[in-house]
Amino acid sequence: MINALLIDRTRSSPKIYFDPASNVFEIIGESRPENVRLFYEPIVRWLDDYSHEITAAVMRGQQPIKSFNIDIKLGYFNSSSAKFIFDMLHKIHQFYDLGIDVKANWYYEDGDEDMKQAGFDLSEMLDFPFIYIATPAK
Amino acid sequence: MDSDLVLLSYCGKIDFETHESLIDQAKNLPELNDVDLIIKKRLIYIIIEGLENIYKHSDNHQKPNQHNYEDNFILRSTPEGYVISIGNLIGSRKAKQLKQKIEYINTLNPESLKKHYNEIITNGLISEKNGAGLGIVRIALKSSNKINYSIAEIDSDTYYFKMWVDLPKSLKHE
Repeated sequence: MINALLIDRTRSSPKIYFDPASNVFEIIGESRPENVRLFYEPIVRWLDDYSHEITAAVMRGQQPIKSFNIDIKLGYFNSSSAKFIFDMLHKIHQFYDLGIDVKANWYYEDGDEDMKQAGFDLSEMLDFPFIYIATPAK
Repeated sequence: MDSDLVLLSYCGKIDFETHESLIDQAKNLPELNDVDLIIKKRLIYIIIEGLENIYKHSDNHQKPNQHNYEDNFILRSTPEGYVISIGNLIGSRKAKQLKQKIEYINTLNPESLKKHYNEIITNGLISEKNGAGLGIVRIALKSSNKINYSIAEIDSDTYYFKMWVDLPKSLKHE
């Protein structure tokens, strides 16, 4: 099985923790890395590799995972990050085609209607229903 | 008497670290403690995108005796809201592109602006400067206002770009 992906959080980039073994997938923090491509391309590549692994298993008649839940908890994300976040979620959504029940949990601070709306917008663009979860206001 | 108040300002080279420091300072301004969460977040977003615009796209055309043309950022509080302004040197090609871009964005109503933003998200490419061409669009979206700007010629290949947006203190009917 593919190794987990762990990128520690910094003040300008989110924690990324994708662990197939425990079925935990989460993006937590703020996203405005100095080099957005350098930050996100390895993550997108990891998702491609994971997708290939699952596809190969499905073609062998196996069902390595039945469900995939990703938690997205972003405080701020800049416009360059928005593009990569869209690309990541697009790849994740494609797991549906492999017979996997895919869920995205979009967290937002209670009162932050803009962040909630950002989730709605991404969901609509991807045709990928999200679950919206309000967290207590800080 | 209500009057304008400078909450935060910086003049000098704005690199990534400076951008981070200014964002931290803005988030922790005591004057923003009682501001509605949505307004505060929109303000921070405008600052993030505005400062990023400088550190990614400012052209270092500094020549001797051009100390008046440093990167510049000011956050002001006014009775109506906030004014976020940025300034930096740019070359002639960028000056032309920015003018066209801002003038186009300023023609769009909120719905068209959002559609334009979403189109770039879904179909756009990340440039060599790691930009998606979205920063200014996002500033317009977050401020719900036209983008004010000026581009002053310094010499044939150097211009000083200034941009400022107004962010109202209260939410309009949205």
